[in-house]
Amino acid sequence: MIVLKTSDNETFTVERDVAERSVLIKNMLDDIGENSEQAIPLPNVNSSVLKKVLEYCEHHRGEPLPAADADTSQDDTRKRTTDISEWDQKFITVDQEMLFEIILAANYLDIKSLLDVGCKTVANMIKGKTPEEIRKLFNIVNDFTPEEEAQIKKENEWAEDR
Amino acid sequence: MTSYFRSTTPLSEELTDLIPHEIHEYIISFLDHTPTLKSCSLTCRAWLQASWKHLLAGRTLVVHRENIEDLLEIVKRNLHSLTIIRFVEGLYVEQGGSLRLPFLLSPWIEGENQQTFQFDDYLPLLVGFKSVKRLRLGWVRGDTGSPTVLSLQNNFGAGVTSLELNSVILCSPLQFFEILRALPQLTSLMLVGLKLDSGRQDDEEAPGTTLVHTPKPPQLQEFYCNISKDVAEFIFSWIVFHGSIPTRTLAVGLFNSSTNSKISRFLSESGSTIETVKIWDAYAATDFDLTPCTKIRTLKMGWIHLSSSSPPGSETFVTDVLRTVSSTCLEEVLVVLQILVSNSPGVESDLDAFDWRGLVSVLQQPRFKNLRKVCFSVSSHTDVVSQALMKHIKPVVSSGKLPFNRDAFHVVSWTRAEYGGYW
Repeated sequence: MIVLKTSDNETFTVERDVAERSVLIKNMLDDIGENSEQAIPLPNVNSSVLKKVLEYCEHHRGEPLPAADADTSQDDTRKRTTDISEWDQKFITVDQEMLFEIILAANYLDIKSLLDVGCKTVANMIKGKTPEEIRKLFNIVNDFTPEEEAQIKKENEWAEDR
Repeated sequence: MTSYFRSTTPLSEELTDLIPHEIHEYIISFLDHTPTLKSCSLTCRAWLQASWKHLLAGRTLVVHRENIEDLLEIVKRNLHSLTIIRFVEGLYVEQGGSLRLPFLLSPWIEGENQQTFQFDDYLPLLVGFKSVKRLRLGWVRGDTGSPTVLSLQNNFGAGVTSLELNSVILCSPLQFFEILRALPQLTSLMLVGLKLDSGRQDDEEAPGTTLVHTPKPPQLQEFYCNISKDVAEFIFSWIVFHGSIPTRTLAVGLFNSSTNSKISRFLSESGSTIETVKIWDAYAATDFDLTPCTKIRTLKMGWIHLSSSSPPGSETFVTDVLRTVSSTCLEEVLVVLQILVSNSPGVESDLDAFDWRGLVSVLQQPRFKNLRKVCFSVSSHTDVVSQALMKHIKPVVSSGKLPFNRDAFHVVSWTRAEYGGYW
Protein backbone atom coordinates (compact mmCIF):
# COMPACT_ATOMS: atom_id res chain seq x y z
CA MET A 1 0.00 0.00 0.00
CA ILE A 2 1.07 3.57 -0.70
CA VAL A 3 0.33 6.68 1.34
CA LEU A 4 -0.36 9.93 -0.50
CA LYS A 5 -0.43 13.29 1.28
CA THR A 6 -2.46 16.15 -0.20
CA SER A 7 -1.94 19.91 -0.06
CA ASP A 8 -4.47 20.16 2.80
CA ASN A 9 -2.55 17.51 4.76
CA GLU A 10 -4.98 14.65 4.33
CA THR A 11 -3.52 11.21 3.73
CA PHE A 12 -4.88 8.51 1.42
CA THR A 13 -3.74 4.91 1.59
CA VAL A 14 -4.06 3.25 -1.80
CA GLU A 15 -2.89 0.12 -3.56
CA ARG A 16 0.29 0.56 -5.52
CA ASP A 17 -1.15 -0.38 -8.92
CA VAL A 18 -3.90 2.22 -8.46
CA ALA A 19 -1.42 4.94 -7.49
CA GLU A 20 0.87 3.99 -10.36
CA ARG A 21 -1.72 5.09 -12.91
CA SER A 22 0.09 8.36 -12.22
CA VAL A 23 3.44 8.46 -13.99
CA LEU A 24 4.62 11.06 -11.47
CA ILE A 25 3.86 8.80 -8.50
CA LYS A 26 5.30 5.76 -10.29
CA ASN A 27 8.57 7.57 -10.91
CA MET A 28 8.68 8.78 -7.29
CA LEU A 29 8.11 5.23 -6.04
CA ASP A 30 10.84 3.95 -8.33
CA ASP A 31 13.16 6.59 -6.88
CA ILE A 32 12.46 6.03 -3.19
CA GLY A 33 12.47 2.24 -3.41
CA GLU A 34 10.04 -0.60 -2.60
CA ASN A 35 10.05 -0.54 1.18
CA SER A 36 9.73 3.11 1.98
CA GLU A 37 6.84 3.90 4.29
CA GLN A 38 7.15 7.61 3.65
CA ALA A 39 3.98 9.39 2.55
CA ILE A 40 4.29 10.82 -0.94
CA PRO A 41 3.57 14.54 -0.82
CA LEU A 42 1.30 15.94 -3.53
CA PRO A 43 1.43 19.67 -2.80
CA ASN A 44 -0.51 20.62 -5.93
CA VAL A 45 -3.57 18.46 -5.28
CA ASN A 46 -6.14 18.93 -2.53
CA SER A 47 -8.07 16.11 -0.89
CA SER A 48 -11.38 16.57 -2.69
CA VAL A 49 -9.65 16.47 -6.08
CA LEU A 50 -7.39 13.55 -5.15
CA LYS A 51 -10.44 11.59 -4.03
CA LYS A 52 -11.92 11.99 -7.52
CA VAL A 53 -8.62 11.20 -9.20
CA LEU A 54 -8.24 8.01 -7.18
CA GLU A 55 -11.80 7.01 -8.06
CA TYR A 56 -10.77 7.26 -11.72
CA CYS A 57 -7.53 5.34 -11.16
CA GLU A 58 -9.32 2.60 -9.24
CA HIS A 59 -11.84 2.13 -12.05
CA HIS A 60 -9.14 2.01 -14.73
CA ARG A 61 -6.58 -0.07 -12.81
CA GLY A 62 -5.02 -2.79 -14.91
CA GLU A 63 -5.63 -1.03 -18.21
CA PRO A 64 -2.54 -0.57 -20.37
CA LEU A 65 -0.71 2.70 -19.83
CA PRO A 66 0.47 4.76 -22.82
CA ALA A 67 4.10 4.07 -23.69
CA ALA A 68 6.46 6.59 -22.12
CA ASP A 69 7.88 7.54 -25.50
CA ALA A 70 4.53 7.54 -27.35
CA ASP A 71 4.57 10.17 -30.05
CA THR A 72 1.34 12.06 -29.54
CA SER A 73 1.75 14.02 -32.74
CA GLN A 74 1.19 10.79 -34.69
CA ASP A 75 -2.21 10.01 -33.27
CA ASP A 76 -4.24 12.92 -34.55
CA THR A 77 -7.03 10.71 -35.81
CA ARG A 78 -7.43 9.04 -32.43
CA LYS A 79 -7.01 12.25 -30.53
CA ARG A 80 -9.36 14.42 -32.49
CA THR A 81 -12.48 12.78 -31.25
CA THR A 82 -14.46 14.05 -28.33
CA ASP A 83 -16.12 10.70 -27.66
CA ILE A 84 -15.97 9.72 -24.00
CA SER A 85 -16.95 6.34 -22.55
CA GLU A 86 -20.14 6.11 -20.52
CA TRP A 87 -18.41 5.57 -17.17
CA ASP A 88 -15.96 8.40 -17.82
CA GLN A 89 -18.83 10.71 -18.79
CA LYS A 90 -20.60 10.01 -15.53
CA PHE A 91 -17.35 10.39 -13.61
CA ILE A 92 -16.57 13.77 -15.16
CA THR A 93 -20.07 15.16 -14.55
CA VAL A 94 -18.86 17.56 -11.89
CA ASP A 95 -19.07 21.29 -11.44
CA GLN A 96 -16.91 23.41 -13.71
CA GLU A 97 -14.31 24.35 -11.09
CA MET A 98 -13.85 20.69 -10.15
CA LEU A 99 -13.53 19.77 -13.84
CA PHE A 100 -10.60 22.14 -14.28
CA GLU A 101 -9.11 21.08 -10.94
CA ILE A 102 -9.17 17.48 -12.18
CA ILE A 103 -7.51 18.54 -15.44
CA LEU A 104 -4.78 20.36 -13.51
CA ALA A 105 -4.29 17.38 -11.21
CA ALA A 106 -4.16 14.93 -14.14
CA ASN A 107 -1.58 17.16 -15.81
CA TYR A 108 0.51 17.41 -12.64
CA LEU A 109 0.22 13.71 -11.77
CA ASP A 110 0.79 12.77 -15.41
CA ILE A 111 -2.32 10.63 -15.95
CA LYS A 112 -2.79 11.03 -19.67
CA SER A 113 -6.10 9.21 -20.03
CA LEU A 114 -7.68 11.36 -17.33
CA LEU A 115 -6.24 14.50 -18.87
CA ASP A 116 -7.81 13.41 -22.17
CA VAL A 117 -11.23 12.89 -20.56
CA GLY A 118 -11.09 16.33 -18.94
CA CYS A 119 -9.87 18.16 -22.00
CA LYS A 120 -12.37 16.40 -24.26
CA THR A 121 -15.13 17.48 -21.89
CA VAL A 122 -14.00 21.09 -22.07
CA ALA A 123 -13.70 20.80 -25.88
CA ASN A 124 -17.33 19.65 -25.92
CA MET A 125 -18.28 22.56 -23.67
CA ILE A 126 -16.82 25.18 -25.98
CA LYS A 127 -18.14 23.60 -29.18
CA GLY A 128 -20.23 26.17 -31.02
CA LYS A 129 -19.24 29.06 -28.75
CA THR A 130 -18.27 32.49 -30.02
CA PRO A 131 -14.81 33.94 -29.33
CA GLU A 132 -16.36 36.21 -26.70
CA GLU A 133 -18.04 33.30 -24.92
CA ILE A 134 -14.78 31.33 -24.90
CA ARG A 135 -12.90 34.34 -23.54
CA LYS A 136 -15.47 34.72 -20.76
CA LEU A 137 -15.15 31.09 -19.71
CA PHE A 138 -11.37 31.22 -19.46
CA ASN A 139 -11.10 34.85 -18.32
CA ILE A 140 -9.10 35.68 -21.41
CA VAL A 141 -8.53 39.23 -22.55
CA ASN A 142 -8.92 39.96 -26.24
CA ASP A 143 -5.50 41.25 -27.26
CA PHE A 144 -6.22 41.56 -31.00
CA THR A 145 -6.66 44.89 -32.71
CA PRO A 146 -9.79 45.20 -34.89
CA GLU A 147 -7.51 45.08 -37.96
CA GLU A 148 -5.91 41.85 -36.78
CA GLU A 149 -9.31 40.32 -36.12
CA ALA A 150 -10.43 41.24 -39.61
CA GLN A 151 -7.28 39.69 -41.08
CA ILE A 152 -7.72 36.43 -39.13
CA LYS A 153 -11.34 36.20 -40.28
CA LYS A 154 -10.19 36.70 -43.86
CA GLU A 155 -7.57 33.98 -43.57
CA ASN A 156 -10.05 31.67 -41.86
CA GLU A 157 -12.17 31.83 -45.00
CA TRP A 158 -9.55 29.64 -46.67
CA ALA A 159 -10.46 26.89 -44.25
CA GLU A 160 -13.98 26.27 -45.44
CA ASP A 161 -15.30 22.70 -45.32
CA ARG A 162 -15.45 21.27 -48.83
CA MET B 1 -20.19 12.09 -31.20
CA THR B 2 -21.30 12.73 -27.67
CA SER B 3 -23.22 15.92 -27.22
CA TYR B 4 -22.82 18.04 -24.11
CA PHE B 5 -25.02 20.83 -22.95
CA ARG B 6 -23.15 21.96 -19.87
CA SER B 7 -23.80 25.49 -18.84
CA THR B 8 -20.59 27.47 -18.83
CA THR B 9 -19.88 30.19 -16.33
CA PRO B 10 -16.61 32.07 -16.05
CA LEU B 11 -13.96 30.29 -14.02
CA SER B 12 -12.48 32.03 -11.00
CA GLU B 13 -9.44 34.10 -11.84
CA GLU B 14 -7.46 32.19 -9.26
CA LEU B 15 -8.10 28.95 -11.14
CA THR B 16 -7.64 30.32 -14.64
CA ASP B 17 -4.25 31.69 -13.61
CA LEU B 18 -3.20 28.15 -12.78
CA ILE B 19 -4.12 26.68 -16.18
CA PRO B 20 -0.98 26.51 -18.28
CA HIS B 21 -1.11 27.39 -21.95
CA GLU B 22 -0.33 23.78 -22.88
CA ILE B 23 -3.70 22.75 -21.42
CA HIS B 24 -5.47 25.30 -23.61
CA GLU B 25 -3.60 23.93 -26.61
CA TYR B 26 -4.48 20.38 -25.63
CA ILE B 27 -8.18 21.27 -25.37
CA ILE B 28 -8.01 22.88 -28.83
CA SER B 29 -6.36 19.73 -30.20
CA PHE B 30 -9.56 17.79 -29.50
CA LEU B 31 -11.71 20.13 -31.55
CA ASP B 32 -12.67 19.03 -35.04
CA HIS B 33 -15.51 21.52 -35.43
CA THR B 34 -14.53 24.17 -37.96
CA PRO B 35 -16.63 27.08 -36.59
CA THR B 36 -15.33 26.47 -33.05
CA LEU B 37 -11.72 26.30 -34.24
CA LYS B 38 -12.31 29.60 -36.02
CA SER B 39 -13.74 31.04 -32.80
CA CYS B 40 -10.68 29.80 -30.91
CA SER B 41 -8.39 31.48 -33.44
CA LEU B 42 -10.10 34.78 -32.64
CA THR B 43 -9.95 34.34 -28.87
CA CYS B 44 -6.49 35.76 -28.23
CA ARG B 45 -2.98 35.78 -29.67
CA ALA B 46 -1.88 32.86 -27.51
CA TRP B 47 -4.59 30.63 -28.97
CA LEU B 48 -4.05 31.55 -32.62
CA GLN B 49 -1.22 29.19 -33.47
CA ALA B 50 -2.82 26.05 -32.00
CA SER B 51 -6.19 26.94 -33.51
CA TRP B 52 -4.79 27.40 -36.99
CA LYS B 53 -2.71 24.26 -36.69
CA HIS B 54 -5.81 22.16 -36.04
CA LEU B 55 -8.08 24.16 -38.32
CA LEU B 56 -5.81 23.46 -41.27
CA ALA B 57 -4.80 19.92 -40.35
CA GLY B 58 -6.03 17.51 -43.01
CA ARG B 59 -7.52 20.34 -45.05
CA THR B 60 -6.65 21.24 -48.63
CA LEU B 61 -6.53 24.82 -49.84
CA VAL B 62 -7.74 25.13 -53.40
CA VAL B 63 -5.81 27.76 -55.34
CA HIS B 64 -6.65 28.86 -58.86
CA ARG B 65 -6.47 31.93 -61.02
CA GLU B 66 -9.37 33.61 -59.27
CA ASN B 67 -7.88 33.53 -55.77
CA ILE B 68 -4.13 33.24 -56.31
CA GLU B 69 -3.59 36.97 -55.75
CA ASP B 70 -5.40 36.81 -52.39
CA LEU B 71 -3.19 33.94 -51.35
CA LEU B 72 -0.04 35.73 -52.48
CA GLU B 73 -0.99 38.67 -50.26
CA ILE B 74 -1.03 36.34 -47.27
CA VAL B 75 2.25 34.77 -48.43
CA LYS B 76 3.82 38.23 -48.38
CA ARG B 77 2.56 38.95 -44.88
CA ASN B 78 3.80 35.56 -43.73
CA LEU B 79 7.35 36.86 -44.08
CA HIS B 80 6.91 39.09 -41.03
CA SER B 81 3.83 37.88 -39.13
CA LEU B 82 1.89 34.76 -38.22
CA THR B 83 -0.45 33.65 -41.00
CA ILE B 84 -2.18 30.44 -42.06
CA ILE B 85 0.55 29.76 -44.64
CA ARG B 86 2.87 27.84 -42.33
CA PHE B 87 0.04 25.56 -41.16
CA VAL B 88 -1.31 24.53 -44.57
CA GLU B 89 -1.00 20.75 -44.97
CA GLY B 90 -2.77 20.28 -48.27
CA LEU B 91 -2.55 22.47 -51.33
CA TYR B 92 -4.36 22.05 -54.63
CA VAL B 93 -2.91 24.45 -57.15
CA GLU B 94 -4.60 24.60 -60.51
CA GLN B 95 -2.93 26.42 -63.36
CA GLY B 96 -5.02 29.00 -65.22
CA GLY B 97 -7.11 27.77 -68.10
CA SER B 98 -8.80 24.86 -66.43
CA LEU B 99 -12.05 23.73 -67.95
CA ARG B 100 -13.32 23.14 -64.44
CA LEU B 101 -13.30 26.85 -63.74
CA PRO B 102 -16.13 29.11 -64.90
CA PHE B 103 -14.59 30.07 -68.24
CA LEU B 104 -17.53 31.83 -69.77
CA LEU B 105 -18.27 34.02 -66.80
CA SER B 106 -14.70 35.07 -66.39
CA PRO B 107 -13.72 38.43 -67.89
CA TRP B 108 -10.15 37.45 -68.71
CA ILE B 109 -11.13 34.91 -71.32
CA GLU B 110 -13.06 37.39 -73.38
CA GLY B 111 -10.10 39.14 -74.77
CA GLU B 112 -7.98 41.90 -73.43
CA ASN B 113 -7.06 40.83 -69.93
CA GLN B 114 -5.82 37.38 -70.71
CA GLN B 115 -3.47 37.09 -67.82
CA THR B 116 -3.59 33.47 -66.82
CA PHE B 117 -2.07 31.85 -63.81
CA GLN B 118 0.94 29.90 -65.04
CA PHE B 119 2.91 27.63 -62.76
CA ASP B 120 6.26 28.88 -63.98
CA ASP B 121 5.32 32.42 -62.88
CA TYR B 122 3.44 31.70 -59.69
CA LEU B 123 4.83 28.57 -58.05
CA PRO B 124 8.16 30.29 -57.25
CA LEU B 125 6.16 32.86 -55.27
CA LEU B 126 4.49 30.29 -53.06
CA VAL B 127 7.03 30.32 -50.25
CA GLY B 128 6.65 29.63 -46.54
CA PHE B 129 4.42 26.57 -46.84
CA LYS B 130 6.40 24.62 -44.25
CA SER B 131 3.72 22.06 -43.41
CA VAL B 132 2.51 20.99 -46.84
CA LYS B 133 2.29 17.20 -47.03
CA ARG B 134 -0.27 16.81 -49.79
CA LEU B 135 0.16 18.58 -53.08
CA ARG B 136 -2.25 18.41 -55.95
CA LEU B 137 -1.32 20.03 -59.23
CA GLY B 138 -4.01 20.52 -61.79
CA TRP B 139 -4.00 21.48 -65.41
CA VAL B 140 -0.24 21.49 -65.83
CA ARG B 141 0.68 21.91 -69.46
CA GLY B 142 3.70 21.07 -71.58
CA ASP B 143 4.79 24.71 -71.62
CA THR B 144 5.57 24.41 -67.92
CA GLY B 145 9.31 24.37 -67.52
CA SER B 146 12.15 24.28 -65.06
CA PRO B 147 10.87 27.10 -62.75
CA THR B 148 7.99 24.83 -61.81
CA VAL B 149 10.21 21.88 -60.99
CA LEU B 150 12.63 24.09 -59.05
CA SER B 151 9.79 25.64 -57.07
CA LEU B 152 8.39 22.25 -56.22
CA GLN B 153 11.79 21.24 -54.97
CA ASN B 154 12.59 24.43 -53.08
CA ASN B 155 9.18 25.39 -51.75
CA PHE B 156 7.57 22.03 -51.03
CA GLY B 157 10.04 19.23 -51.70
CA ALA B 158 11.08 18.37 -48.17
CA GLY B 159 7.67 17.66 -46.69
CA VAL B 160 5.40 16.50 -49.48
CA THR B 161 4.50 12.83 -49.15
CA SER B 162 1.45 12.81 -51.40
CA LEU B 163 1.22 14.13 -54.95
CA GLU B 164 -1.72 14.18 -57.30
CA LEU B 165 -1.30 15.17 -60.93
CA ASN B 166 -4.76 15.86 -62.26
CA SER B 167 -5.52 16.71 -65.89
CA VAL B 168 -1.87 17.12 -66.69
CA ILE B 169 -0.18 17.12 -70.10
CA LEU B 170 3.59 17.08 -69.89
CA CYS B 171 5.93 17.40 -72.83
CA SER B 172 7.74 14.15 -72.11
CA PRO B 173 8.26 11.39 -69.54
CA LEU B 174 11.42 13.26 -68.56
CA GLN B 175 9.35 16.13 -67.22
CA PHE B 176 7.28 13.67 -65.22
CA PHE B 177 10.44 12.21 -63.69
CA GLU B 178 11.74 15.69 -62.87
CA ILE B 179 8.57 16.46 -60.95
CA LEU B 180 8.91 13.24 -58.99
CA ARG B 181 12.57 13.92 -58.32
CA ALA B 182 11.65 17.32 -56.86
CA LEU B 183 9.56 15.57 -54.19
CA PRO B 184 11.84 12.90 -52.72
CA GLN B 185 9.60 11.94 -49.78
CA LEU B 186 6.65 10.76 -51.88
CA THR B 187 4.78 7.75 -50.57
CA SER B 188 1.48 8.43 -52.32
CA LEU B 189 1.02 9.22 -55.99
CA MET B 190 -2.24 9.80 -57.80
CA LEU B 191 -2.25 10.20 -61.55
CA VAL B 192 -5.53 11.25 -63.11
CA GLY B 193 -5.76 12.26 -66.75
CA LEU B 194 -1.99 12.32 -67.27
CA LYS B 195 -0.45 12.59 -70.71
CA LEU B 196 3.25 12.62 -71.44
CA ASP B 197 3.33 14.00 -74.95
CA SER B 198 2.17 17.56 -75.45
CA GLY B 199 3.28 17.55 -79.07
CA ARG B 200 6.96 17.54 -78.31
CA GLN B 201 7.34 13.88 -77.56
CA ASP B 202 10.81 12.57 -78.03
CA ASP B 203 11.00 9.24 -79.77
CA GLU B 204 13.92 8.29 -77.62
CA GLU B 205 11.66 8.58 -74.56
CA ALA B 206 9.21 6.12 -76.02
CA PRO B 207 8.08 3.47 -73.57
CA GLY B 208 10.20 0.38 -73.47
CA THR B 209 13.24 1.73 -75.27
CA THR B 210 15.03 3.80 -72.66
CA LEU B 211 13.72 2.45 -69.37
CA VAL B 212 17.29 1.76 -68.44
CA HIS B 213 17.87 5.52 -68.22
CA THR B 214 14.83 6.20 -66.10
CA PRO B 215 15.13 6.95 -62.37
CA LYS B 216 13.90 4.52 -59.77
CA PRO B 217 10.27 5.05 -58.81
CA PRO B 218 9.47 6.46 -55.36
CA GLN B 219 8.71 3.94 -52.62
CA LEU B 220 4.98 4.37 -53.01
CA GLN B 221 2.67 2.97 -50.38
CA GLU B 222 -0.34 4.31 -52.24
CA PHE B 223 -0.54 4.39 -56.00
CA TYR B 224 -3.66 5.65 -57.75
CA CYS B 225 -3.56 5.53 -61.49
CA ASN B 226 -6.51 6.47 -63.64
CA ILE B 227 -4.90 7.33 -66.95
CA SER B 228 -5.11 6.39 -70.59
CA LYS B 229 -3.94 2.99 -71.77
CA ASP B 230 -0.64 4.03 -73.34
CA VAL B 231 0.48 6.08 -70.35
CA ALA B 232 -0.63 3.38 -67.92
CA GLU B 233 1.38 0.80 -69.84
CA PHE B 234 4.44 3.04 -69.77
CA ILE B 235 4.12 3.84 -66.06
CA PHE B 236 3.66 0.22 -65.01
CA SER B 237 6.49 -0.94 -67.29
CA TRP B 238 8.74 1.70 -65.74
CA ILE B 239 7.97 0.58 -62.19
CA VAL B 240 8.34 -3.10 -63.03
CA PHE B 241 11.65 -2.42 -64.77
CA HIS B 242 13.05 -1.18 -61.45
CA GLY B 243 11.68 -4.05 -59.36
CA SER B 244 9.14 -3.95 -56.57
CA ILE B 245 7.73 -1.08 -54.52
CA PRO B 246 6.07 -1.48 -51.09
CA THR B 247 2.58 -0.56 -52.24
CA ARG B 248 -0.29 -1.17 -49.84
CA THR B 249 -3.07 0.49 -51.82
CA LEU B 250 -3.42 0.33 -55.58
CA ALA B 251 -6.14 1.99 -57.64
CA VAL B 252 -6.24 1.40 -61.38
CA GLY B 253 -8.39 1.54 -64.46
CA LEU B 254 -8.70 -1.73 -66.36
CA PHE B 255 -9.12 -0.90 -70.01
CA ASN B 256 -7.93 -3.80 -72.12
CA SER B 257 -5.90 -6.95 -72.10
CA SER B 258 -2.65 -5.17 -72.96
CA THR B 259 -2.86 -2.67 -70.06
CA ASN B 260 -4.10 -5.36 -67.71
CA SER B 261 -1.07 -7.54 -68.53
CA LYS B 262 1.25 -4.69 -67.55
CA ILE B 263 -0.65 -4.14 -64.31
CA SER B 264 -0.60 -7.87 -63.58
CA ARG B 265 3.15 -7.88 -64.16
CA PHE B 266 3.39 -5.06 -61.64
CA LEU B 267 1.30 -7.11 -59.22
CA SER B 268 3.59 -10.09 -59.63
CA GLU B 269 6.49 -7.84 -58.52
CA SER B 270 4.80 -5.72 -55.85
CA GLY B 271 1.50 -7.50 -55.10
CA SER B 272 2.65 -9.25 -51.94
CA THR B 273 2.37 -6.07 -49.85
CA ILE B 274 -0.93 -4.86 -51.31
CA GLU B 275 -3.89 -4.75 -48.92
CA THR B 276 -6.37 -2.70 -50.93
CA VAL B 277 -7.16 -2.75 -54.64
CA LYS B 278 -9.57 -0.30 -56.18
CA ILE B 279 -10.63 -0.67 -59.79
CA TRP B 280 -11.82 2.70 -60.99
CA ASP B 281 -12.67 1.95 -64.58
CA ALA B 282 -14.03 -1.54 -64.98
CA TYR B 283 -13.92 -2.06 -68.73
CA ALA B 284 -12.14 -5.40 -69.14
CA ALA B 285 -10.91 -8.03 -66.70
CA THR B 286 -8.97 -10.06 -69.26
CA ASP B 287 -5.38 -10.79 -68.18
CA PHE B 288 -5.87 -9.03 -64.85
CA ASP B 289 -4.61 -11.25 -62.08
CA LEU B 290 -4.79 -10.68 -58.33
CA THR B 291 -3.14 -14.01 -57.48
CA PRO B 292 0.10 -12.40 -56.21
CA CYS B 293 -1.83 -10.17 -53.79
CA THR B 294 -1.70 -12.63 -50.91
CA LYS B 295 -2.50 -10.00 -48.27
CA ILE B 296 -5.39 -8.28 -49.98
CA ARG B 297 -8.14 -7.33 -47.52
CA THR B 298 -10.27 -4.95 -49.54
CA LEU B 299 -11.31 -5.12 -53.17
CA LYS B 300 -13.39 -2.37 -54.71
CA MET B 301 -14.70 -2.53 -58.27
CA GLY B 302 -16.58 0.03 -60.24
CA TRP B 303 -18.21 1.50 -62.08
CA ILE B 304 -19.84 -1.63 -63.42
CA HIS B 305 -22.20 -0.30 -66.07
CA LEU B 306 -25.42 -2.21 -66.48
CA SER B 307 -27.33 -1.31 -69.61
CA SER B 308 -27.76 -2.57 -73.11
CA SER B 309 -24.85 -0.36 -74.20
CA SER B 310 -22.45 -1.61 -71.52
CA PRO B 311 -18.96 -2.58 -72.60
CA PRO B 312 -18.74 -6.29 -73.42
CA GLY B 313 -17.81 -8.24 -70.32
CA SER B 314 -19.35 -5.81 -67.82
CA GLU B 315 -21.76 -8.48 -66.63
CA THR B 316 -19.00 -10.91 -65.71
CA PHE B 317 -16.35 -8.37 -64.66
CA VAL B 318 -16.82 -8.86 -60.92
CA THR B 319 -16.81 -12.65 -61.19
CA ASP B 320 -13.79 -12.65 -63.47
CA VAL B 321 -11.77 -10.53 -61.04
CA LEU B 322 -12.85 -12.50 -57.96
CA ARG B 323 -11.79 -15.74 -59.66
CA THR B 324 -8.20 -14.48 -59.64
CA VAL B 325 -8.18 -13.78 -55.89
CA SER B 326 -5.98 -16.27 -54.05
CA SER B 327 -5.77 -14.53 -50.69
CA THR B 328 -7.69 -15.86 -47.72
CA CYS B 329 -7.41 -12.43 -46.06
CA LEU B 330 -10.10 -10.76 -48.16
CA GLU B 331 -12.58 -9.09 -45.81
CA GLU B 332 -14.44 -6.59 -47.94
CA VAL B 333 -15.71 -6.49 -51.50
CA LEU B 334 -17.39 -3.38 -52.84
CA VAL B 335 -19.10 -3.41 -56.22
CA VAL B 336 -20.14 -0.01 -57.54
CA LEU B 337 -22.98 -0.51 -60.02
CA GLN B 338 -24.14 2.16 -62.39
CA ILE B 339 -27.64 1.55 -63.60
CA LEU B 340 -28.42 3.72 -66.57
CA VAL B 341 -32.06 2.94 -67.32
CA SER B 342 -34.88 4.57 -65.43
CA ASN B 343 -37.87 2.37 -66.17
CA SER B 344 -38.38 -0.53 -63.81
CA PRO B 345 -38.72 -3.49 -66.21
CA GLY B 346 -35.53 -2.33 -67.94
CA VAL B 347 -33.62 -2.39 -64.66
CA GLU B 348 -34.72 -5.94 -63.95
CA SER B 349 -33.69 -7.05 -67.37
CA ASP B 350 -30.29 -5.35 -67.04
CA LEU B 351 -29.81 -6.92 -63.63
CA ASP B 352 -30.67 -10.34 -64.98
CA ALA B 353 -27.76 -9.96 -67.36
CA PHE B 354 -25.39 -9.50 -64.40
CA ASP B 355 -23.50 -12.70 -63.69
CA TRP B 356 -25.16 -13.48 -60.37
CA ARG B 357 -24.71 -17.23 -60.83
CA GLY B 358 -20.99 -16.88 -61.45
CA LEU B 359 -20.62 -14.53 -58.51
CA VAL B 360 -22.46 -16.80 -56.11
CA SER B 361 -20.49 -19.74 -57.40
CA VAL B 362 -17.09 -18.12 -56.90
CA LEU B 363 -18.01 -16.82 -53.44
CA GLN B 364 -18.56 -20.41 -52.32
CA GLN B 365 -14.81 -21.00 -52.52
CA PRO B 366 -13.27 -21.56 -49.06
CA ARG B 367 -10.73 -18.78 -49.62
CA PHE B 368 -13.53 -16.26 -49.07
CA LYS B 369 -14.16 -17.50 -45.53
CA ASN B 370 -13.04 -14.21 -43.96
CA LEU B 371 -15.38 -11.99 -45.97
CA ARG B 372 -17.28 -9.70 -43.65
CA LYS B 373 -18.79 -7.34 -46.18
CA VAL B 374 -19.96 -7.78 -49.74
CA CYS B 375 -21.49 -4.48 -50.63
CA PHE B 376 -23.27 -3.40 -53.79
CA SER B 377 -23.34 0.35 -54.05
CA VAL B 378 -25.83 1.34 -56.72
CA SER B 379 -26.63 4.58 -58.50
CA SER B 380 -30.39 3.89 -58.26
CA HIS B 381 -32.99 1.15 -57.79
CA THR B 382 -31.55 -0.11 -54.51
CA ASP B 383 -34.63 -2.24 -53.80
CA VAL B 384 -34.55 -3.96 -57.17
CA VAL B 385 -30.87 -4.80 -56.77
CA SER B 386 -31.51 -6.13 -53.26
CA GLN B 387 -34.22 -8.40 -54.59
CA ALA B 388 -32.03 -9.65 -57.42
CA LEU B 389 -29.19 -10.34 -54.99
CA MET B 390 -31.39 -12.16 -52.50
CA LYS B 391 -32.95 -14.25 -55.24
CA HIS B 392 -29.56 -15.63 -56.19
CA ILE B 393 -27.90 -16.02 -52.82
CA LYS B 394 -30.86 -17.51 -50.95
CA PRO B 395 -30.45 -21.06 -52.31
CA VAL B 396 -26.73 -21.02 -51.51
CA VAL B 397 -27.35 -19.74 -48.00
CA SER B 398 -30.02 -22.42 -47.46
CA SER B 399 -27.64 -25.12 -48.61
CA GLY B 400 -24.99 -23.89 -46.17
CA LYS B 401 -22.38 -23.60 -48.90
CA LEU B 402 -21.47 -20.00 -48.24
CA PRO B 403 -18.16 -19.92 -46.32
CA PHE B 404 -19.01 -16.60 -44.67
CA ASN B 405 -21.99 -15.10 -42.88
CA ARG B 406 -24.94 -14.13 -45.08
CA ASP B 407 -25.21 -10.84 -43.16
CA ALA B 408 -22.12 -9.75 -45.07
CA PHE B 409 -24.30 -8.79 -48.05
CA HIS B 410 -25.43 -5.18 -48.31
CA VAL B 411 -27.01 -3.04 -50.99
CA VAL B 412 -26.62 0.71 -50.50
CA SER B 413 -27.03 3.89 -52.50
CA TRP B 414 -24.02 5.64 -53.96
CA THR B 415 -22.14 7.95 -51.68
CA ARG B 416 -20.83 11.31 -52.81
CA ALA B 417 -17.43 9.69 -53.42
CA GLU B 418 -18.96 7.17 -55.77
CA TYR B 419 -20.78 9.87 -57.72
CA GLY B 420 -17.42 11.60 -58.01
CA GLY B 421 -15.81 8.47 -59.38
CA TYR B 422 -13.62 7.82 -56.33
CA TRP B 423 -14.18 5.03 -53.86
